[in-house]
Amino acid sequence: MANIFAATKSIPLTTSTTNPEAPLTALRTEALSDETSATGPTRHKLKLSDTVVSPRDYGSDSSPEHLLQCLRSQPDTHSLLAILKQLSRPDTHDESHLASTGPLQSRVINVLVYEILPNYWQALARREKELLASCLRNLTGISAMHAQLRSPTLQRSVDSKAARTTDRSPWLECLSLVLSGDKIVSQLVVELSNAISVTTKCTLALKELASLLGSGKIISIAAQAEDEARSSNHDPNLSPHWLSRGSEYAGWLGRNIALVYNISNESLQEHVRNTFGAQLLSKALNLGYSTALLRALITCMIDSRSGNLSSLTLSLAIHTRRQLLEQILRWFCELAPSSDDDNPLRPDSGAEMNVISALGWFVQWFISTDLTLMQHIGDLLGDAAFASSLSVSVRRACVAALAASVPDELQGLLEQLMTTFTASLFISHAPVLQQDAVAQTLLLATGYLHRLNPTAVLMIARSSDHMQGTSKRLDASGVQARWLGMIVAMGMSSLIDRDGSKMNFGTDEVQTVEAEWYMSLVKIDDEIGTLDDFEALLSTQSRPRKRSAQILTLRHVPPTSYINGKLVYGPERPPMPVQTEVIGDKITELVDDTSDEDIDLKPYAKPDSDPEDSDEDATLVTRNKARAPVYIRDLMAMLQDDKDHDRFQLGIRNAARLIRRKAAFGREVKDHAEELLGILCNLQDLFSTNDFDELKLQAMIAVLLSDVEHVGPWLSRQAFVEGYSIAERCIMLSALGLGGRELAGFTNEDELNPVLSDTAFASKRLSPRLHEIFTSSGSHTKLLDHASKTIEAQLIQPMALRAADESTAHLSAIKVRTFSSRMEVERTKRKTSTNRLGKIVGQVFLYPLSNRYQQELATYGSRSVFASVRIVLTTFLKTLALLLHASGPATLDLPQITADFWDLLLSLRVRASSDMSVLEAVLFSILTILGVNTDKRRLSREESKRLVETQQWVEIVFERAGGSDVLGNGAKEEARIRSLAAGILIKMREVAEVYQKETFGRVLE
Amino acid sequence: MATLVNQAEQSATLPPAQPTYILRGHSAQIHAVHFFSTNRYLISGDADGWVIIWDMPIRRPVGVWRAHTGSILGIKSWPGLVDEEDVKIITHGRDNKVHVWQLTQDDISRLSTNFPADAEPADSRHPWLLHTLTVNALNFCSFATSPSPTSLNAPESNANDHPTIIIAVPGLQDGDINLTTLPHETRLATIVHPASIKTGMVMAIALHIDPTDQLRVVVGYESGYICLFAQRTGSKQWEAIYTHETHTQPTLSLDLAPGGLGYFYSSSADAIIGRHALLPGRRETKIAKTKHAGQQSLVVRSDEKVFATAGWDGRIRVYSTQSLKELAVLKWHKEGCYALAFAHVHSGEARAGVRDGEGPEGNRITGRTMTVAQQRERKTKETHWLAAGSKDGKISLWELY
Repeated sequence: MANIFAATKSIPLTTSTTNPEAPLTALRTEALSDETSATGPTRHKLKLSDTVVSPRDYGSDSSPEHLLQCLRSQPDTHSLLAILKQLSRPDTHDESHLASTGPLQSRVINVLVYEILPNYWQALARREKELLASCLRNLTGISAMHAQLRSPTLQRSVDSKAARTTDRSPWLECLSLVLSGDKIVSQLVVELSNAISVTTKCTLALKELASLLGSGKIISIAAQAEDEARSSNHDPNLSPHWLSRGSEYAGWLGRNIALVYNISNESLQEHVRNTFGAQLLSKALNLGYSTALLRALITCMIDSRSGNLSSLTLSLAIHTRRQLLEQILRWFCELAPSSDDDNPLRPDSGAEMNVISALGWFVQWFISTDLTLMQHIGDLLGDAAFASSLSVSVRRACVAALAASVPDELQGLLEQLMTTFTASLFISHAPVLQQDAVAQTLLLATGYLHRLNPTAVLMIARSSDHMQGTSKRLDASGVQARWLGMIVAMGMSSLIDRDGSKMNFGTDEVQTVEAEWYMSLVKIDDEIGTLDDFEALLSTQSRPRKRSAQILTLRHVPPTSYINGKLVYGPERPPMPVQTEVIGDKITELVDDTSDEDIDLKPYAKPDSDPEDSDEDATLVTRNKARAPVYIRDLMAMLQDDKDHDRFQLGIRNAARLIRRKAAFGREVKDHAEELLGILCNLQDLFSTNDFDELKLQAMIAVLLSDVEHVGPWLSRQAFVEGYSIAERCIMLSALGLGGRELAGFTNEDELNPVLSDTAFASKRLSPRLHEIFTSSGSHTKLLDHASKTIEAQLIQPMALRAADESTAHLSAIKVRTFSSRMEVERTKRKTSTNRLGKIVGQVFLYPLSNRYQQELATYGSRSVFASVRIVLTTFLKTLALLLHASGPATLDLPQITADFWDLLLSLRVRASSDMSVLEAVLFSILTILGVNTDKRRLSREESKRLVETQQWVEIVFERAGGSDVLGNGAKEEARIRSLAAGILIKMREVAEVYQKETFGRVLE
Repeated sequence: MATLVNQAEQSATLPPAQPTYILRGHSAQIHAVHFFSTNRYLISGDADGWVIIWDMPIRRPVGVWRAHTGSILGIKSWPGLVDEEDVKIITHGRDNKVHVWQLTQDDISRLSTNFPADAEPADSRHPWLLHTLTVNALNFCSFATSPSPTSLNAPESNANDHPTIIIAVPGLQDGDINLTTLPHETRLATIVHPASIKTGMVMAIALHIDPTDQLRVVVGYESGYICLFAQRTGSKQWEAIYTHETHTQPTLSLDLAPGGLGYFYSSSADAIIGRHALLPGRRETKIAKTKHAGQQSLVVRSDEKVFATAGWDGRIRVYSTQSLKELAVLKWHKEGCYALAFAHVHSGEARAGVRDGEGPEGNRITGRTMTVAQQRERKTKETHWLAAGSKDGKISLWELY
């Protein structure tokens, strides 16, 4: 027996692929070992009838060492499968189980991952792959594959790319197979904890698993592997794998986490399970795809109808709970109809009520699991910055849930809100959006509290806080702040006071639709829905409402023949062509054809267009030549054409001209303005068009100007919408800025907007000089930069001239008019064209922009593009400054705009001190503010605090900028900053002089 | 006024031509147009098998029916001997049929006038169907007709009968042509393509009776070859007496100028137009490169001064038959044009007569006896129409030269 044993054992070692006997022998060996270890449930899938040796003798052959040997000796497919089967079966001896961690397992896994997988993967069938994957479905396997995927990356720069990237896909495929499924993580956890008996070891292993899965390592490695595969031209059209798509991976993680909490107590100790789940979830929350994660997690939890949510929340650390709550609320903002951002005054529809009650149910259910969460939600609602980033529906749902679950918290919340609302710092400095949010929540909470406990509301309303707060608000300089004070006071009074003695300010301001909506907030009593409502909401909104998806599903005008039946007479048919006669000199070709003469046939002139074939070869001639768009719908279809180069080119080249021509003609542009602008915002240059950015910008400006009241705010919001690239955002901002300037009548003045020559006639083209301007443009913010430079010069030049003037004043005593006054005259002379911008700049451009900016910062903080990317921030500031400058001193609502903008700028002081270009933009903006506010008396009276603050800061900047001796570019920039700062300081001094004159005027006289 | 006229005459070109009228009614691509009854009617056929007869003086449809279940390939008329109005219409469709319809005034008045798009499904009125030939129509080649040589006319034929004609259609084998007589429906011959060259499918056929009363068959092939077949004297054997590889792309159309000129013309999917002599060897073949690929439905006007092609680029081009020089480019259609037809142009003297008729003297003579409708009809009949049918389902009418 010992002989045979030795013989069989030695066989795999001597196995070589050339030996035809070897596979059979190996197979036999495996089959035998299969039978010997079959003490547990018998699962013989591979049977050999001619077993020559008694099975009992090979008991030790199923040992992992032996299998390892077999694997190392390059087994053929059959024996490999047998070994894998052996490995993947639940084993009786724990130490060698693959789920466990240890040197033996890592050796086996190593062989599997580094040798077996690359060699066999492509050759294996689907079920066999599954078998291999099941062997690797453990911590060691996953980390080994991860390591394998990562290692070539490091060497990529050294080795030739192609050679490396060829072998990547097996691991990637295998990893996705290993991880596919919603119960994988739970399975891994249970197996791991069963396999490892030592508690400490088990805890460590679980921690490793959580960090491996939850921290985004896998996403980045998978994405990198795919990227390389694409760039190496190995598979250029490789579609992204779910592992490399963050949102899909996060969804998978969410479902798995939910199911981890479903593991029963028998298979896993509860505290182990909870610790692991908490680790994984807290890591996953930082992954950055919280929407997808939470959607999957919560949907899965709701579906399984398990009461495990409480164990989930309780297992989390306290700050993670708060983070979870915040992210859930943000997710709800996407879930709830987000259109209420655009127009909160919309009357409640039934659908919206359902959504609110469903969300209310969830919030109530969620916070009821934990006492700290109840406090958290109160805190969050009271936090002005956070609350302003939530949509109104979500806030309503939160207040309703709070009132239903912990009525006691409501009073605390109300007091907190009242304190915030009445604080003078908040009144004068908080962004309007936050003030709105606080006022709304305040009114909502008041309504709820009043129904529960009218005395408490009475106490608060009669408190000195409220009284003083109201009067502070009435004194406030901001229009909106004042208005909100009135509204809140009236709203509270409407609850507690008797009919006769209700507070009413009686002004027009408080009788608008908006005011009515605010007042109605105190009467809102949202019902808390049921589980079913929430499920229905999840199922209806299961698909994320994505902007890009919306755009892509736009009705694509199909190029069907429009002669189908009655469609012939439909509106989409192109109009009758007007054949214009050729005007001007005609060139007649004299053909000398003597052999065959035409006696009396005089040729007709050629029609207006008769292009010759594009190609000599008849098979290559393009016959469907695109024609310039005539209707906006045509234009949209052409812009969305991603196949036909000519059509797209023609579309984009004619876009601005067509839009401008149609802007004042019917409602064609107006009706499609948002759709069209959406297309333009998303427009990608697939055909590397010349001057693409410029053309796109011009088209956007044209749309903007066609219906500025509606499109302006829309575009302002759009610039902050998720998913745009930096360049796209810059173009949107540029469009806003330059569009505003054009509206103010600056167009012809400085030739920034290349005037599209006579948009009335399509046949005319740009003059060569203007075309030059077109072609030379490089960056997408070039025009904006140019504009800002011009203005800067305009603002600074008079001061410099006057300074020069003063220094030479003693030389010419007879000078009657100073340079500065001449500049003044010129400056006023320029304002001949009507400034249509002044009336609307606030509502249409500045408020939407600054509000969304505040909201963006409140939501994402420093992660926002607007905070982190320098060029976006500077473009944003320059846009605002340009608009303000263009709208000029006659701007409606100038004090409010000034205050808003100024605050925004002051908040950027820290950022500016570390970044030259931001500093420049901030200084430029401040200079613009001072330049536009020509009423220096008002400025000195009302804005003294900001003036002083600014002056102190600018002085520091000025001093610091002077010091260095940097040459070249840096020096130039420093010089610019110095001159800007100096300009500001001089303006400030002027204001101060006015103030002094005001105060001591009589005395001085 | 005189100076204006002078100026117009002195300038080198006429102003660009504009369509006189657009006939709308088809809801599919138009594949064939044809004038008959001395330009009184225009008949058009589309890709769905519908045909419309348009009354040219009033430019309204007077008869609409679905002649074929497949796309129409060609339409020709078969005028009677005695009465000009007594016409038979031959239509060829892709449903493998050639139909011959009786179209007297009576027949026309009984037809529906609803356009194909408005047609009631139950309305199956159509003219009297005289003949139906089953032919091979797997390719796109239209049939060709010609009066039969007098030698073939059956001796017992009555003078009042319609004259015998010959119809040529592509045969079952690629490159074959079948010749059939009507009204007897007898197979005359099958012409096999020359063995020495690779021809591909038959794309266009034209028939010609030469001055010696011999039938000649002109064929354009898919490979771009043009062949002229004649019967060897004394035998039934057909042989190619002229072969020329004119085109690089499939031939699309052929037409003859059999009168004074003795040429025939070919167009193809490439940009070449070929002029060939009907009596080979006497004159050389001439080729014009137009730089506009895809010209089909080449037709020669009956006075043999001009011919025209319908271009896939939506432009109709008029060429001089003599010099192959482009005389006019007619641009109106936005989509490719597929079918063309010239109205029959009366001989030079008749034309001069018309000019006189428009003068004060002519009015005095003819105007008295004619009603307004009659005048209009006469004027329409004498106009030098060019009708072009396009992919967009519209027919444009032009007045030229």
